[in-house]
Amino acid sequence: MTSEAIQNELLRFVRKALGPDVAPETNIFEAGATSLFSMELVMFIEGTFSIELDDSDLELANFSSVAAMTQLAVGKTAPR
Amino acid sequence: MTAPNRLHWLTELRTFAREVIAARTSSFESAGAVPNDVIAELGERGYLAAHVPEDYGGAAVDMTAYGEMHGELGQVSSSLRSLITVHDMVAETILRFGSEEQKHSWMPQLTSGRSLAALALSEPAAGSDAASIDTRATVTKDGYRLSGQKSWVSFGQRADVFLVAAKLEDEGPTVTFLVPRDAPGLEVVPVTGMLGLRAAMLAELHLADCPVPAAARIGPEKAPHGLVIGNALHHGRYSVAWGCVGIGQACLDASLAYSKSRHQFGVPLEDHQLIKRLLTNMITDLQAARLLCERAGERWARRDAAAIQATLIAKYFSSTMAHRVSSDAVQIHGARGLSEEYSLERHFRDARVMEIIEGSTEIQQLLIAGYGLRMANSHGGA
Repeated sequence: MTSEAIQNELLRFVRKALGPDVAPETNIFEAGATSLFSMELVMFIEGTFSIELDDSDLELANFSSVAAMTQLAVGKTAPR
Repeated sequence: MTAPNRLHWLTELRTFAREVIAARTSSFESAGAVPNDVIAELGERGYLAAHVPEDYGGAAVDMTAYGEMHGELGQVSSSLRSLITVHDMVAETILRFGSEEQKHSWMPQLTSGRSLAALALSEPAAGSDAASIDTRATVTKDGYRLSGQKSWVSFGQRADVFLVAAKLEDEGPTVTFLVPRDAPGLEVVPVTGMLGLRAAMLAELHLADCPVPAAARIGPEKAPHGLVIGNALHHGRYSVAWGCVGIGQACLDASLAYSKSRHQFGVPLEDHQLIKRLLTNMITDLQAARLLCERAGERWARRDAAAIQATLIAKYFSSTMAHRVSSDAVQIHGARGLSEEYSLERHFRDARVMEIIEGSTEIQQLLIAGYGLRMANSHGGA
């Protein structure tokens, strides 16, 4: 999956919850993301992109925006 | 776990619940405690943190079998089921947010029952509004110091280790720490006199400048808002929802049997149409709750984000179902339903507790409606 495809999937999921105005750089917590939505995001990222996030991935900064989450997911899916 | 192993595991669990635990439940309640030998047996049989992978000492049961375990135990002892719930909420937090070192250090202790864990979140001034906790974690040279008070800690009287939620400094995020019972500055004060779950060994925790090392922190200092505690509560809701199915099943089974054996006005109760109406509502309510729990478990097993919402709905419906069904069971049994000689009055009292713990009915209603409205905004339906 390309970086663009990952970002589009994430945007679609986040916009469904927080509204159509969310842009890749929008801070989702300032846009109204709740603790429940944080949990949904973790499950969505792991389930959709078939990756496992470990404790060091679960930093606030990695979930602050769709762009940050895209970077996280791309880093976890990239061949090592 | 393979299908035959799963079936064998659940069959053994059922036998344990019905033949070992059921005979001792009344003594747990009157003593206000689950005895140590029972806790040890839970560990030996692999019923503590049973969902944890085998690499960490767990039984690696799938989430539906895990739920069914809580349903079976809920039929015989909600206090015992609650012990597993709170212990597993801590195990789940370490599994999800702990480092490899923390997992390898703690998990074998938790799955074997060598250490019993409890969750310390609520406070005198913070219940449903968990974000407003006053307990503070102050950064020190070696780690942190914890100060504050925790309320309604299930199995706090017995736990060897507590997962304590605290605000980092004054305005920081909520962070969680594993605090051993013998930590300096930690005082455990038993709480008694509760309506239900009378063997849940409740306690208050008083933390007075309690030092904990940096390695005691579970999860990052700055995780997304509420993620760590939210995950623990999600696990607890799932367990409680299934436990309520157990309460409902026990109440229904007793009511069906009593409706056949008890005669009034020359016929068995089952021939009275108003009793049939009660039984119909109980059967339907219980089956709906079980289906919602199974649906949540299936979604959780495949790590579907919709598991969060499905679990909220399952907990909301199952806990209110347990209240309705246990109340109807008491009604069908008449004066016997009020007597301690029968289990129905205990189920009725315990069911009332289920509408308050791991998110009150009203909090579930706010969250479920909020989710529905959010989905309606995006595509026209939840």
